[in-house]
Amino acid sequence: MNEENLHNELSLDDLFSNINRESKKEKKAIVPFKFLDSYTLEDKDIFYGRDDEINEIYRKFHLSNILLIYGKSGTGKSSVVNCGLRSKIPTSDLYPITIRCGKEAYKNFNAELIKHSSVRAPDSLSYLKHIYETKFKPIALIFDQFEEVFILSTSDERKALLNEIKIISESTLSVSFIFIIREEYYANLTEFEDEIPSIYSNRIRIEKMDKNHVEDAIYEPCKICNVAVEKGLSDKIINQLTKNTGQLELTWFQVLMDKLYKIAIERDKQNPELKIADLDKLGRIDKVLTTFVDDQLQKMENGINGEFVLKTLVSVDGTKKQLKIDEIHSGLNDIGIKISFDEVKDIVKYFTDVRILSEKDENGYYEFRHDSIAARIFERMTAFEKELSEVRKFIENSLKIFDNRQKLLDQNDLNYIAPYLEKLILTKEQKELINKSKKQIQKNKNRKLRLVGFIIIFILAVSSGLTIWALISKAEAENQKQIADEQRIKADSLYEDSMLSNYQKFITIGDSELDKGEFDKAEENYEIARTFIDSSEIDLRLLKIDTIRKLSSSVDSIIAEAEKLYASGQYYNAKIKYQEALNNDYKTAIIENRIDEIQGVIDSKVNSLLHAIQDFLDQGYQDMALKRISQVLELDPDNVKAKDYLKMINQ
Amino acid sequence: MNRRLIRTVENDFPYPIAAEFRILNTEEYLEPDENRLKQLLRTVESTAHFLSIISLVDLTENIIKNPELIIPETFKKEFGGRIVRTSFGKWVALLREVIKVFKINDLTMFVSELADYFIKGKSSESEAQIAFNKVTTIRNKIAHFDSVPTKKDIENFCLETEEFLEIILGELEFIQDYPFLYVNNVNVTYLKWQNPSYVHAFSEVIGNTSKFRAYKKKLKGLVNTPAVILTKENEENYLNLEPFIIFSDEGESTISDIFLYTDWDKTKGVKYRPVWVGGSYSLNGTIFQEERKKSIFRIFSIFGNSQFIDSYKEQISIEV
Repeated sequence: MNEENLHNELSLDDLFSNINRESKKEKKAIVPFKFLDSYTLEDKDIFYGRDDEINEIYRKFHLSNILLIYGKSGTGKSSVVNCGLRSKIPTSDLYPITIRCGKEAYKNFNAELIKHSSVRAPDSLSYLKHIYETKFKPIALIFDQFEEVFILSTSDERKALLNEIKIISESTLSVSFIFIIREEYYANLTEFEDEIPSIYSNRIRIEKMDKNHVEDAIYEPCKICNVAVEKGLSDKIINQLTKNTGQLELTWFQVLMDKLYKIAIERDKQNPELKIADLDKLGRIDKVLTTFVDDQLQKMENGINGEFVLKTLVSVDGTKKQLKIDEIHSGLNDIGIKISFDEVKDIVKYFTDVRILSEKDENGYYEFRHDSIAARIFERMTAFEKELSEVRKFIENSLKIFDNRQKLLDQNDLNYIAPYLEKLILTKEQKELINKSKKQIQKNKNRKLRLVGFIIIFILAVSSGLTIWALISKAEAENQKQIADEQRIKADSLYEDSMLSNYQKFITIGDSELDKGEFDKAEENYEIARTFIDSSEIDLRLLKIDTIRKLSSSVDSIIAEAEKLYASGQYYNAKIKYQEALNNDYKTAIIENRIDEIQGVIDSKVNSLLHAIQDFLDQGYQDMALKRISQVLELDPDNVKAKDYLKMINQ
Repeated sequence: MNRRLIRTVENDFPYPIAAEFRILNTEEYLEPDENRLKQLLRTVESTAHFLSIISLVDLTENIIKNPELIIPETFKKEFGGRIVRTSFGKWVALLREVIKVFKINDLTMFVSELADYFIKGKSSESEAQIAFNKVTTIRNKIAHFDSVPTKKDIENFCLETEEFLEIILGELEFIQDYPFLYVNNVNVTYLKWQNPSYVHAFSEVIGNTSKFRAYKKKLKGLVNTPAVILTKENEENYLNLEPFIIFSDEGESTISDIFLYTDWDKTKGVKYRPVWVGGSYSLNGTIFQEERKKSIFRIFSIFGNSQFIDSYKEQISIEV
């Protein structure tokens, strides 16, 4: 090879891509647009407008063995991976295995691995080891539409799948995981986070195609397929499809382009051209999908039955479900819709032909071509139908739970499904579950009633006992109270008596001391008496003492005067003085005694004087008698004898 | 293909060759179709690439030891074109010309059998060289086919290429005597009054698995580390294949792999291809970026002409 040829030498990839391109051109004319189907590796020649996303995914794919791709429905996630990423990685560098989890996530995962391996193995890791040894390439497990794990699979299936993923990711096998999931179920992956902590670490969000790339997505596939595009058409499409959001609704775009292409082919198969006039005829682009579904239903002989069939393929979340024909048929029966098996088959075939449903897969499952169609059908469901669908799913799930864990429905569950039972045609097992649940609830109710009854009786018994005891206690207490009262009264009385007695005692002592003239001692005793009974008598006595103290000095001075008079012989005046002192009512006894004494002296002297007077009179000594009479009258002014003698004398 | 040869290549040949070869014998590639043909060609290309690098590095070491060695002007003239934007044909050409230089200077190659493997005697084509050239022809035929090759064409190409591959690998069995190793690190024990001893961790980069067998060995001397080396008789007698063959986990995939030099693009940097992992690898932003660039430049300086050297001198001076 000369040097010039060396410089012009093609790489192997270029060498073989040329071969492939040429051979593909010969095979058949490729269709430029794929309606609602997602793009696969075979479509790499017509897949445009997603280079940025593909490059980013390619870069992130090599960063870690787990890659999470999420985005809203209809943003082209599956296409970007299955077509974009896979076409960027040489086939010799990667062995991709695409898995749809569906209703039985774990089972379907294993089933997919078995397809790629020619030997029997005990578990998924062993299958993967064998696949690696035979293919000798790193393996990529692409979990497409992974949200089905949360929508359709049971918790047990999810757990089993998660366990397998964990084991594989921790092994030394060169296996990458790509999870493609709808954005609405992004948070559900936290269920996996404990076992696979890095599940969120390497992720990319796929957004709607930017309008700057739409032109490529229109022109390039058309160029490959020799389809002309009228000038200005792409701008018009872009404007109409992105006018509100600036981003492209991919499902509308795909349906629209497919429609425009079909119109172009019908017009001129050899030289098809997409025209603006066709676009104008179609009308509002956002209604294209809805209109498409409506059109197909209208074209049917029995669109109502057709709609019923489609509704069975919609999950309670408004996403697509995978069902076989017999499952569709029994699903209709479950809600009381009688359509024969053959008619269901015909309807499904019709929908497959008009591309509302995808062709059945190798397991015989049908599904909507796209979630957006499922969403349109979901919109057509009445609220009751949606609820009925939910209730049916709830019953199915409850039966599964019962089979695994013997858990019956509770009263809330029965209340929830009760209004719909008439409308549902239940299987024998479902009916048994409901009946068993009802019986169990009734049993529980009865048990509860018995228990309540027993408790009531017990409470009553206890209450009665307590009441009786209380009454007895009350009587006892009252009795005790009475006794206590009596005791108290008695005690009070005794106390009072005691107090009175003491009071009187000290009053008496005080009086005695007062009489003795011992004022201080009298006061002291009166104060002691006050400690027992604080009586006004004491105050009076004390006042008396005060008064007497005051009197005492005047009485003493009177007595002193009286004694002077007595000492001077003026007995009668002394007696008068003492009588004056007596008016003070003080030292009365003493004074009275003294008065008596003085009277006694007076009387004695008067008597002597009267004898003397008689004598003198007898003797005729009148003067002497007169002197004596005056002495008597001095002593006793009111003495009658003296007065008589005087009279006698005067006569 | 001879089953014994298949087992030998898969298990005992250097990893860059064995890994590609192993794919060839997987179920998916057994049919004589485009896939198999591409893989056959890829295996031949990997072999040429690998041998060419060994020879070039060997020659470089010799020239450094002995600058007086004769390098033909034509070699220098063509070197710049061959060492960038490399391809199968360029590697084959480079291998041939390098071996010629050894022969001219009457030097023994590190892999002593390699010279005669490719050039018999002074300048005759060996069986292996003929086989390489035949494969080149097949490649050209594919590139210049008048129409799309038919299934039969592809099948014939497969058979032919396989035949030549068998010769290329069969003649190369001596390579097993030169263990291809990766030196990861060295632990030094240097006790008082003792000579230092160096415990090296080696990985045998042999066979078709990226899980290399590793072992430790105490050596008196120090081996370059980290380094991918070819050894002869013992580990201390080695040819360090840096900077053209490296071991790194700094590729796009961040998975450890052996990488082989493919190009020095002035705008995008020095590029390598991985043996297995896939994804691209560039020295830009890697730990040993500067050291390896300088090493490559040194080799360019040894073998390139002044114009070529000057154009890359700017690359070094900008970044240094």
